[in-house]
Amino acid sequence: MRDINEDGDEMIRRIVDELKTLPAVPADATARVLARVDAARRGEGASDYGSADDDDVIFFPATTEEMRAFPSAGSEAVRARTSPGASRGTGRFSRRFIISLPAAIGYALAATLAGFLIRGAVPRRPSEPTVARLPNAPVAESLGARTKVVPAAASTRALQEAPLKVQFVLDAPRAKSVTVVGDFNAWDGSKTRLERDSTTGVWSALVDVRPGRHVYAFLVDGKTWTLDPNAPRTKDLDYGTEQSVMIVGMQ
Amino acid sequence: MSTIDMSIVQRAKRGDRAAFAALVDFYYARSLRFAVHMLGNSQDAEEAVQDTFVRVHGALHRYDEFDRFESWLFRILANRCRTMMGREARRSRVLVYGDLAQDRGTPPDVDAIVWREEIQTALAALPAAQREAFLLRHVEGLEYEEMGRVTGAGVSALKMRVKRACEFLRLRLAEVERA
Repeated sequence: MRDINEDGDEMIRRIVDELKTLPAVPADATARVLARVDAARRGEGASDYGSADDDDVIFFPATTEEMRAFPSAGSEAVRARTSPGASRGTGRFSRRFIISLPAAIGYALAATLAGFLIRGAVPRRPSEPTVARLPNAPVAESLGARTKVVPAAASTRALQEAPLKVQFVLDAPRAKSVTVVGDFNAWDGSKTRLERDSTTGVWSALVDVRPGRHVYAFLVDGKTWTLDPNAPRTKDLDYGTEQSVMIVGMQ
Repeated sequence: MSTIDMSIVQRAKRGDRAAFAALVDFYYARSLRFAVHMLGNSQDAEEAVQDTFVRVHGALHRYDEFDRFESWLFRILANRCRTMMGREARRSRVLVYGDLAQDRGTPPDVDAIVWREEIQTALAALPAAQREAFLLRHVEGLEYEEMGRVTGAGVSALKMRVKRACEFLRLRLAEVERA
């Protein structure tokens, strides 16, 4: 590796050496590819064979934190997506997404107006807090994430912004370790470990989380991505991974 | 890191079936290695790689030879891996370690197996963007500019992802060694 030392040391070198081991390739791998190519050319199988969706890619920085840290990253991403052909005005990005400025302003105004109309027409209901509850749960406690304690605060603004204690609970009696990862702890699997109740096998932790919408998941035994069984789910914009959603402080 | 003879790519682009087969042979193992590490599961990885080469064949006429072929191939492969990750919101990452090693005839070294499993577990715990950047940089040996063309992210962001991935892996595996 040319410049492993820029990031690494002996430990990284050992990891990389292990990861460089090539897997065994099935003997019929190439034959299967050719058979699928033939089928696709005859119009069987993959309908997107030869589509333009493959070789133009965009992926913005994975986290808003990275976006903030590197404000040029977004523009880099757009440049990266446009292939040499695209830079000459023939790429998918330029063909599909460039619209004139007056049209863009018109669409924005129309969307804003529609938003106001819908907002006025639909009666507003107070938001429900996210409280996870699993039918036939083996423990009395509800599973998932729930707001536990509201802290005292000196002013309304401070109260609105002050972190709340959120209790994360997961019933995983056979797990060796459970952590919670989410946007509130930078998806760091080592930051928030849950403690196991030895009698029930239920894992829980109290975590300070600022009010607002948050996404999270449990990591069981350091590798098993587990969603809250009772919380709504969403997909990560970049990678499509499912995450649980909670609203903190919307009581 | 060896690269393919461009005349093979040119012949494949002109529709030469044997050249395309040679291209698949040349890149299959590396593509499979990347997909296994990204998806953590050899069956999905195999599917992603098969899809990739079918798509490569369909898109070869659009491949611009100013772009390095390897970057172009990995762009399609990384796309397929992301699509698979989105489709299968995994509750569990089951790693089939036995499929990784090529030399199955040698007797198993328990320490080596444990070490490999710990690496795979740590890799799986990384955020997907960091895992992707780390693998492209250090395992596949791509330059940051090429990685930018593969992932659509900026060079600075990619450097940060690789740095964070290294920190995480170093910390996690140092803990394992101490245990």
